[in-house]
This record gives sequence, structure tokens and C-alpha cells, in this order.
Amino acid sequence: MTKGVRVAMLAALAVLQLGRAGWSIARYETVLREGTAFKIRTEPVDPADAFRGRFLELRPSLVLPTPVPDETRELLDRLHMDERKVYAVLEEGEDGFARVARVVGEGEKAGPTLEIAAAWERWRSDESGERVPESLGYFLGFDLDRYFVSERKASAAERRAREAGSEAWIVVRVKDGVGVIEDFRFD
Amino acid sequence: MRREVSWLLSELPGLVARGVLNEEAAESLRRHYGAEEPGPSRMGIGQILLAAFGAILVGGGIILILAHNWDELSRPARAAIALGTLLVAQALALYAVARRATSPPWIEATSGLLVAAVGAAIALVGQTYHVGGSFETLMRSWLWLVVLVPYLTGSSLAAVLFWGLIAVRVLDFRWRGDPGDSWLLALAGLPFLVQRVRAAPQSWATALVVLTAALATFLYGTTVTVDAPWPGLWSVFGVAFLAALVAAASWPPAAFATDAWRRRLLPPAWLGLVAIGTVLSFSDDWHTDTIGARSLGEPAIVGALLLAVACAAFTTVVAIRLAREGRRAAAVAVAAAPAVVILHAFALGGKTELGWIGFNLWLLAVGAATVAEGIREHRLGTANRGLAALAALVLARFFDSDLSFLARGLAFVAIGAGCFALNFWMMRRARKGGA
Repeated sequence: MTKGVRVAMLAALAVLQLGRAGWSIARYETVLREGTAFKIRTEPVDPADAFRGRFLELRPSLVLPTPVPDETRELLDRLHMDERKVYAVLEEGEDGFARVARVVGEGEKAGPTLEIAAAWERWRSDESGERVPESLGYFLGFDLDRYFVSERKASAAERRAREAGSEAWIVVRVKDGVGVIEDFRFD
Repeated sequence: MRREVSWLLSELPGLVARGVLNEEAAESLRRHYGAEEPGPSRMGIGQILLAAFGAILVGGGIILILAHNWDELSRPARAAIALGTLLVAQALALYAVARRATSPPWIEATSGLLVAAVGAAIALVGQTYHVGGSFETLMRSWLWLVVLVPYLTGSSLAAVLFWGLIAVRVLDFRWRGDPGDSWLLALAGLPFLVQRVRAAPQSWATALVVLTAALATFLYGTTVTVDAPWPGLWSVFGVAFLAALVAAASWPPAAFATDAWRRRLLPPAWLGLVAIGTVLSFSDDWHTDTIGARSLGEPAIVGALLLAVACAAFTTVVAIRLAREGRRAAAVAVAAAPAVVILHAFALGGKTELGWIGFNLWLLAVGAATVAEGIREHRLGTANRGLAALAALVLARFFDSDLSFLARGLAFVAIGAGCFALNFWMMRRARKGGA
């Protein structure tokens, strides 16, 4: 390989590397600018990431209550089996927080939708803790599991979150299946 | 001149074996021509190491500083910093390749900085936009974006970092699962390794690349096979791969004296092989081979099996050639690979006794043959490796048996005294030969 070819290929690789980073930035900026904002409740925990700094580990989830249509149940059950992407269509509930209007597949992800990372069915338990055959709906988990903050704010946030009665939530902008966390709040 | 010197150095073991030169004269020739050899591998080692470590420390320091979370900066500013650090590293690497291609410190330092900067840029974008997901997402993108850097810059440091990232990534698999592209990445990195081994076999940098690649591949293959729905597959992979490393280091025999990567690769590969062989000398491990249904499942496991079969085929050919050359110890060692495939097949059919008996015999044979070779060629290190294999066998059998503490204690003392006696005798012979 001549020097000229090496330099040209290295330049092309540089464009690819910049393009990868730049595409991510453009994608997230578009969501933040044009996406719809929703509030989702979460519990924060304060670990650290050697590569990316201090962050709050979040566990945002939404509940899809019963009755769950059969086609929705089938979509959610296949989420883990054949790795198809499934999306939650969000709307604002009466309490101001996000709720799931319905669940759709890849072809209908346009609009205020958020990709579902995990879904599991909830069951009622009797007084002894045994599960009874009465479904309470589905818990839906999302890939919004960290919020990067300064070291000082991270510890304070975790302490506040553990105070009795306090409630924490994230503000997420969603568009076409992609969600970007805009803010983290306490009541 | 380098070619003639390489030829002379490769002739030395044969000349010593035929009595034309004694070992001391051969060593003097090696020292003489090694000291006179010019080239960056001797003259610039300090510069290269300093430059390379400096680049990595600068890159790492920048990551840590930026990981302090700059709340004061706006999101666009943070994104600009992420792209800016990458741009600077790319510009330096381009300059090094275009204008400083003959300077190893420039090439190694800028290539190392580029690999670090790609990771830093991906991590910073993730931090700026609170991108969720796992460590795996970061590593996957990082690896695929830097796989070509060693080829385009010629940097060994970039190759070492690439294989190191594969090894680090493997550590996350037990918790999050294997994404399935690690074998593709390893295949993509392999040609550079072969290129380095052919172009600069005496170089310490080549040895480092080979060792890192071998370790990463071994870690990955073991991780995917140890939990595979095929009991015993981990041992087939481990023995076949390590035996293939021993075979690659041992053939051709004359190259061992000249190629640094062979001398660095052989001891850890050989000791790893003996360690796994010792585990396989217990009957318990072979009984699990008959339990439960077997399936290959994921593509990653198929990849590990294919690599194991390829290693077994390679080692079979090398074992035959080594035996014909009279290198019996190495031949016995690498024969463990075809042996484990055959014994595993018997175990799947219910004949598990052949497995653990076979590996007991293998440990005995490889230990005895290695000790004998060490004595014959006056190589204390070789003799001690053989003793290590025999000691592993003895220890395994003693822990596996119902003998009393007194009997085991006396046996350990006797064997240990034998080790000291052998070392003492060989050192005396070496001193007499020198005198």
C-alpha cells in the first residue's frame, strides 16, 4: 500500500468516525428540538462510569393496564423472542405524567413513540404472596437508564430520592421511537 | 544485512546440536549480532514507549477531565468538544502517516491517541445526551471504528489497544450476552498480526501484539463455550487453541531462537495447556459431557467450535512434523489438541474413562519428554517447565486420592527434593560446560 493510498484511506476512515459521532449528535438534537415532551416517574441510584462520568441510574417504566388487546400481547411477547422492535405510543395522562395509549410495530413508529426495551406481564398476588391468574397488565421498560450529572448533584439527588414521600421524574423528548432525556426533577 | 544475520542466528541451534559450536559460543554470537543490529526496535524503544504512554495518558487524562461533567457548558459546546478532540487526533495521525511515516514514536503515539479519541468521542456524545444502553454499545462502535487503524498507520500500539478492547469487552458478556460480532472483529484484526509476524518477527512490538491477540481470543472463546449448551465444549476449545499456540511457537524449530514472539508466546501457552490438562485429568469433568442435550445455539459458539477444529487440524500436521524432526516434547504437547477432540467424541458416546485416563497419560508424557529435552539441550527453563507438568500431575492425583496426610507429605518432600537436585545438577553441568 503506497503512502498516498494510506493517507486517502485514513482520511476516509476519519470522515466515517466523524460521521458516526456527528450523526448521533444530529439525531438527538432533532429529537430535542422537534420531539414531544413527557414526564415519566423514576427511581434514581448514583453509580459512576469510568468512561462517561457520574450518572444517576434511572428505572423509568410505564404500565400498560388491562384489558390488553390480543395483538398487543402478541407484539410484546415477541419482543424478546425474535428481537423485533416494538414502540409505545405516549400521551399525557390526567396527572400530567406520560401514559401508554397503545403499542405498535416498526411500521407505525412515526410521531410521539418510544422504543420498548423490555416488557413483562404483572400478576395479582393473594395474601400469601402466591400469584393468582389475574393479569394487571404489562410493565414496559425503556432504554433511558442514565442521567449524567456533576458529582455533587449526583449524591444529593440520590439522598433526596430516598426521602420518604419524595417523587422523582425525568422529562423526555420523544420522536419516531427515539427518546432523549431533557431534564431530571424532584417534587 | 538483516537477512544474513537472521540466517546465521537460525543456524546456531543446529550447529550446537552437531557439536560444531558449544552453547556459550552460540550465545556470544547472539549477543554480538543482536548488539550490532541497528533499527528502531533497539534504538528507539525508550522513545516509542515514552511517546506511546504519553499519548495514552494524555487521552485518558482528557477523558477523566471531561468526565467531571461540565455543567457550565451548553450542550452544543460539549458536542463540539467531543468532535474537536477526535478531529485533533485524526489530524495528528494523518500528519504522522503523511510526513513522519519512518518515525515509530510519531506513528505509535498518534495512532494510540486516535484509538483513545474515538472512544472518548463516543463516550462524550453519550454523556451529553444522556444516552442509555450498555457499555456494550460503546465498545461495539469503538471497535468497528478503529479496526482499520493498525493497517493504515502500521502501528503496533493501535493493534494492541484493539485486541485489548476485545478482551475488555468479553468481561461484560457474562452479564449482558454476546452480540455475536467478536469473531468477525477477530478475523478483521488477524491479517495485521500475520503481517507483523512476517515482517518483523524479532521485534518486541510484534511479540506484544501476538500475546494480546492470543489472550483476547482465548478469553472470548472460553467465555462463549463455558456456558454453552454443550458440556465439555470449553475444554475442547481451550486445549485446541492453546496447543495451536504452542505449535505456532514451536514450528519451524530453527525460528524459535530468532523470533521474539515465539519465545514470549510459548511459556504462557504451554503452562495454560498444562493447567487445562490437569483439570481434565479429573474424572468429574468428563462425566458432565454425557449429561443433557447438546446444541450449538448461537453463532458465536459455532465460531468457537470451528476455530477449535481448525486448531486441531493444524496441530495434527505440526505434531507429525515435529516428531519427524526429533522434537518429541513439543510434538507430545501439541498432540493434546487432536487427542481432546477424539476423547471428547468418546465421552459423548459414554466412554468417559478414556478422557481422564488419556489426560493423565498426556501429562506424564509431556512432563517427562520436556524434562528430558531440557537436560539434553542444557536448558534449565525447559526442564523446569517439564517438572511443572509432572508436579501438576502428582498434585492432582494426590488431591484426588485417599492417601493419608503423612504419605502425601513424604511424597511432596521427595518430589520437591528431586526438583532441587535436578536444578542443582543442571547448573553444575552448565558451569562445567562454560569452563
